[in-house]
Amino acid sequence: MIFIFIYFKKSDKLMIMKILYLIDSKKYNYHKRLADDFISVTGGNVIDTAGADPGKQYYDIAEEDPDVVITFDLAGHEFRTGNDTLSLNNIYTRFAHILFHRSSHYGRELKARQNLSMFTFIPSGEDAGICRRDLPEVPNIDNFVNISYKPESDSEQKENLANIALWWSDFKRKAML
Amino acid sequence: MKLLIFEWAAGTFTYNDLVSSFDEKGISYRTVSYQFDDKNEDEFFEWRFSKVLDEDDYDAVFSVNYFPLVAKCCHSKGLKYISWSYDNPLDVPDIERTLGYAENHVFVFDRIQAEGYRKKGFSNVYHMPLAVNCKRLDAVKLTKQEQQLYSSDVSFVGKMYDSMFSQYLSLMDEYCRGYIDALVNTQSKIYGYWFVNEMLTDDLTARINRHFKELDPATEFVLPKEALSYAIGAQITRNDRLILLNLLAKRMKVNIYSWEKCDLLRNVNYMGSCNYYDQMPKVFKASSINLNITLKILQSGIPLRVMDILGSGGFLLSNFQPELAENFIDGQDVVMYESIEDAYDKTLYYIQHDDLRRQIAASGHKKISEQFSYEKQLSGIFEIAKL
Repeated sequence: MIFIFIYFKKSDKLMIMKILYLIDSKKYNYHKRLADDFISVTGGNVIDTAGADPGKQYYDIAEEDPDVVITFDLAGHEFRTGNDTLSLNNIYTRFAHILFHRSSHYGRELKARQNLSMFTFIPSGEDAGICRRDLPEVPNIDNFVNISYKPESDSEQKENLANIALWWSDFKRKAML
Repeated sequence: MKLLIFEWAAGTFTYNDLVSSFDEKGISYRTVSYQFDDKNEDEFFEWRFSKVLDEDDYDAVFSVNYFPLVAKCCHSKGLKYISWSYDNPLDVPDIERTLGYAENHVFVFDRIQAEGYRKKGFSNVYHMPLAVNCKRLDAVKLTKQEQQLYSSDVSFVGKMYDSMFSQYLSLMDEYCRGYIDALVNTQSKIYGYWFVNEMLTDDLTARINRHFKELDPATEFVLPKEALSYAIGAQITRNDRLILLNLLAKRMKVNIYSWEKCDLLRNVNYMGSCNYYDQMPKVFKASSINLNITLKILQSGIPLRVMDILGSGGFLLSNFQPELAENFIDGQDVVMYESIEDAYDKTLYYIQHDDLRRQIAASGHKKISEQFSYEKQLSGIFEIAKL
């Protein structure tokens, strides 16, 4: 597996950041294209969870030892421990879970307890407020502004890329990266 | 009362039972979890956890096992921190840097360990035995197929402790190797008293570390006394488990449930690991004899495995543990052994006496449900913490 590295400065040391995207292209046909857009801004590599053996794939992810894992629409939340908790919780890294639909779309998967290093981004401010109230086990809920999963024109696509860059910079600050 | 529960992200065995007891007591709580890379230093965790503490008006933070950075955050906000451990030893490097915070109320299930900390001046460390949720365990029923699957003469749930002992030993000079060998041989014959810590003097550990340096002048590795003590305990436990299981497997059906298969076990059926909540109680219910071979370094306390076996109504054959002997009558509620030979003889005897085994298991179950409930232990904890 080949990783695209980007360099960033942390504690005055030049470090290499390993970014991993988790997508489910079977469930969401826009994931692959969207991952390309994000990667053009952030760098990184994609793991498609569609049809994979969750146990094996979880260990592959853990073994990569990524600095950041970015998931779309809670891809990878189906990896569970014997006690039905999220397996991803056990990886020491920062997570951004980006949702492109209202919270009600996700059901059980959004109710699972996330660890404190996970940040969940929800497209609607109002919906984010509801989630903060109703999902006490999802600790860091934020609003995800103006990134369309189906840009319909070139200008919308350009705007999307700019907004991804803005989001990325904001997330790095929030996650102390 | 409103609690913030901190849970290690990999999960803790007792979490579900703990929160059901909070639910029954009408205690409200929120749970947050985290995976530490370094339990003593994590700027990001301190920042996020402090933020969570500010989000509500909590009376205390509660965790299973002790987390120094949770203690640090609570200390900085003057908020009570209660930790109740099922790990022994506490397995936290440099624990004494944070243990003495006035906000801490640290409960350990091994009385000797609690006394050890109190003698060092940590008056906020208390002894509190573990608990069991018999209501949950009583509700676990086995189907015919499960009865067949889990049934055995003897079952053992636990790991084989593949420790660093041999590596440490191979790097010692002849004198230290002989000394440690003798120590292991003597301690392995004694049940109920752990004298290794007294025999590992500062001079001895200094000599061991000096020799490491002579072998490799560039090494920065230093073997702390606690790590050597743990390695010795793990080695003795490993030997006990290997010998007893191999001996018994020559005479009867023996099942082991463990994360890793041990190639040194002969004729012992490796059953894989078993899930704590669903499968483990079934193993204990379906096995004629459930073995508990305590990690030797655990000096007096009753380990969680014993609670689980008795709570499930299983028959327990355990090594002698002082607190087990104080709370349960040997031969009436549980059966205890004082050597490998004794364990072997008692297994052969009890495997032939079904009624007696059932009677003992029932008596042990009754006693544990009366004396070691979550309700009782948590009331004790909250009373001490003045909550």
